[in-house]
Amino acid sequence: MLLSITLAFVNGILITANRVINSKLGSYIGPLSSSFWNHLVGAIFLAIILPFWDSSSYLGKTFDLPLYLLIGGLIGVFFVAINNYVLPKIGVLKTVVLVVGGQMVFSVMIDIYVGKIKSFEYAFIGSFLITLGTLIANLNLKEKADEKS
Amino acid sequence: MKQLNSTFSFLSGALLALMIFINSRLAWETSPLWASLIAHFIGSIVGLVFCLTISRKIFSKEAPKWSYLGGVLGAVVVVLASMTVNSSLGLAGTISLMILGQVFMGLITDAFGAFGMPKKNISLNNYFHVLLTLTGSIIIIFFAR
Repeated sequence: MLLSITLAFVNGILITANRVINSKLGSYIGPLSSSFWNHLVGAIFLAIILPFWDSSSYLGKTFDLPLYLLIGGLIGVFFVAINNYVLPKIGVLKTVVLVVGGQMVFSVMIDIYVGKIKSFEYAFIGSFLITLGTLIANLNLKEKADEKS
Repeated sequence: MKQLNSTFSFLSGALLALMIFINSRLAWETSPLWASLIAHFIGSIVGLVFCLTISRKIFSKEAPKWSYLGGVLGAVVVVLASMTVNSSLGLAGTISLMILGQVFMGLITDAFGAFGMPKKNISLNNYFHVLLTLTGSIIIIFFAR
């Protein structure tokens, strides 16, 4: 449990580093193309290290799996596209808060469905606090922007 | 129209959670590394189609070379996320801790101006952000399960 907690937290650190690097590239070629490079470079990197890591190949099994298990990458690109479209229309504050809120609500629903969350009440309070934190942090950004204008 | 855009934004958050869940299910059936490879492979094909139709500009010589290498981290992110979602931590626990890590790293980048980002002052709101995210994560991980 402690290992999982540490790994998930470290993963968040990696996500921010990944996002900062991708947005740097995105400032030259746009977020969609930056997302393309992110996926391509990731795929190449994994293809190189995979033979050293996994002794068996899952290629045959992959074709036998239900198709919906393969659309993770498709969703990732759609997420960037939707965000890219919506952000200038409703602003950073709303976008960030809604994305975090959507993530929390839906992940709690899935965990209840698979039986990993037993108490909806506590899950709701936890999700609410995380979303509230996002709101407060970004209100600050809005104030700063208002001060400048 | 504005409500519709807000709905899109909320649903994109839900999609993000669904994506992490689907990738972890694929990792369960195969391996975390293989699942990340499939996700990135399909993502680059779909991404290429999007680039050619919408964005059109795929490459820039002016962009620093290291900025093309973010995907190495992205690959590791999907591997680690699959591992933790499939552990007793679950999806909501994983996502709340990943958000906590992002908040923490965001604070560090702001405070020290890492990755060539401008230095920003840390305000009281930032501390509230960390505190609320930490409390929310603890409640989800230790009380909701």
